[in-house]
Amino acid sequence: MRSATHKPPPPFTHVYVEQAAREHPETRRVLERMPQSRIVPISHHKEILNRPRQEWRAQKAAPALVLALRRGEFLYAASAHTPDFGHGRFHYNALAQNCLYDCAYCYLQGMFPSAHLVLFVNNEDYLAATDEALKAGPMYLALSYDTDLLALENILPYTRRWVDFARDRPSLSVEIRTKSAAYAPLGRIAPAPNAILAWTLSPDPVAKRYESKTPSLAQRLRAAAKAMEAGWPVRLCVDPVLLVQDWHRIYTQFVATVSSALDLAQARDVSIGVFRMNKDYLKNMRHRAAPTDLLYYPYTTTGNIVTYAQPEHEALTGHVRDLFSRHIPPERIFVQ
Amino acid sequence: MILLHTALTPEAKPLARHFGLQMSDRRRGPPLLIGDGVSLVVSGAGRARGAAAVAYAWGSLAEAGQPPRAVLNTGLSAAEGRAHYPDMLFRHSLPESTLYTFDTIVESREEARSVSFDAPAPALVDMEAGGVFTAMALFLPPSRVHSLKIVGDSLSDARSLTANAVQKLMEGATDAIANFLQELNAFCDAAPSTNPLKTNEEQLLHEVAETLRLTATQKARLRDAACRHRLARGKSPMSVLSAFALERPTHKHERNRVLHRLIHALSNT
Repeated sequence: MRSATHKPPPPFTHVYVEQAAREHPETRRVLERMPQSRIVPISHHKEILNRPRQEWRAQKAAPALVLALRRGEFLYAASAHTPDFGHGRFHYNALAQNCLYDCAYCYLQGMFPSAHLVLFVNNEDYLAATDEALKAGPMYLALSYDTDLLALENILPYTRRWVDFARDRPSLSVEIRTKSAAYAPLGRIAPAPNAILAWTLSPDPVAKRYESKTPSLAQRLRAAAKAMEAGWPVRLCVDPVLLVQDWHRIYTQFVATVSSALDLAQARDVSIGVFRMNKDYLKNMRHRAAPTDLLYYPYTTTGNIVTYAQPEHEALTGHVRDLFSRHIPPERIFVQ
Repeated sequence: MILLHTALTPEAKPLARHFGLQMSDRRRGPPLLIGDGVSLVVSGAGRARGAAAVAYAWGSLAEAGQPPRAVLNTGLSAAEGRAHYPDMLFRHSLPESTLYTFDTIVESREEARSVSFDAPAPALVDMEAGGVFTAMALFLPPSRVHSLKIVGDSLSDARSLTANAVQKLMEGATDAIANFLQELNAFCDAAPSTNPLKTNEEQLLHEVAETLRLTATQKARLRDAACRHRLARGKSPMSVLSAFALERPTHKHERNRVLHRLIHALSNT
């Protein structure tokens, strides 16, 4: 039989919409922006997300969008393997599941059996749950945890809404971690001192090899520079630091590039961490993700976490920390 | 191999002709026709028959070393109906619709509504697809099981189609089905492997592991090193593995030393 050449369709040719979310104003807003998409009603987002034997990589090349209502929990205690930057109560929420980017080291590949992007449209319930939690005391909240929220700003403007929400609640600190270069939507609102924009930065050779579909280092630096100039608290995250060939030179050059593009003294802080992963996620990734050498490195396993052995960990983080400490006081450098 | 499924013989005949399919020599079970890259099973009407037939065809083809990599349920459908969620990950030019599977013939919109839930916009009904999808979900991803329906009747005249009329409708649709199959086949061809090693590399790896009498953990370490060698250096691990293929360690400590050298060679060559 003859065979054609496969060309994946563009993203979001299909939008699955939970029946309960169909009339939500956010759903209508998203669908208005996607007039060409085919709308498929579903009962629950797990009907799409949890099907067995999904072709993860083919889905990543042509993701569908799933619009759903989050039910049950809206806040989660953060993992012990995520830096808390000295905050006592560290939580995260999941306004979306999955990401537009395709990073080879990302745990989402092992966490969810589907690469389709889920957006939870009932933001008001997340806000109410956060207000309720704030009654118990100050809280640090990571908003961009199982996704890259700023990269989705054109579909759902959640980053701006959460910045405005945080602005009136000084006991709340929010972190929006991103690789996006899309600073423009944030440029239209005033910075909030308790809304931290955290850019994940990687050396160009690392980004080119392991961070598919992401903006380049130069683009991310330009976005971070604009944010710093406008007065946003900006965190720089070098996480994960990867043990690539010639890593010493690559990261030396990288910090030089970062320090020449940004006034590092103006950065709120720097966060450094090496590759680490739940061992079951890593196992899942070997069956789903694009094969890269990262998936086959002889990591050490402690509990259910795989990561580099202690000497490698110390060499990598020590080197990057030393480089940054020439530009920023050591107490503003956090190493995980 | 792509497996086609129809409920009725008149639906199957034009497809058999178009794809040059021949009846298999199996004497039991539903009719199974086989051709070059395409096979076809005819189930008879009904969800249970549909499920049983595709499962039977799957087993028969797998036993013959040709497990289907995708399944396409096709045939006639009436207008109006109930839904499914195949993953549509390749481009095609056909309209998409929801499809409702019923256990009995549905003759009116009212009857459809009484059995199904809130039938949305134009939809289709049949009696098999639900069974085919359920059965094939045991074997295939949701991106590889699809249903193509030729709308041949409205609910009001469901019983009036003759075998000749069904055959004619199918004949008119075979080109569209063939085009869809081409796209589906291309999608299957393009599916990237998550295994970094090629078959011959896996084989040599297995031989070396057996010769060295590696434990399960050591085999896994060796395989990881071979995978890393290919992915980090872009080179086949064959030459490194071959250099160790003749090693015959006589005791455990020697085996461990050989393994250490082998992994070192894979990591540094």
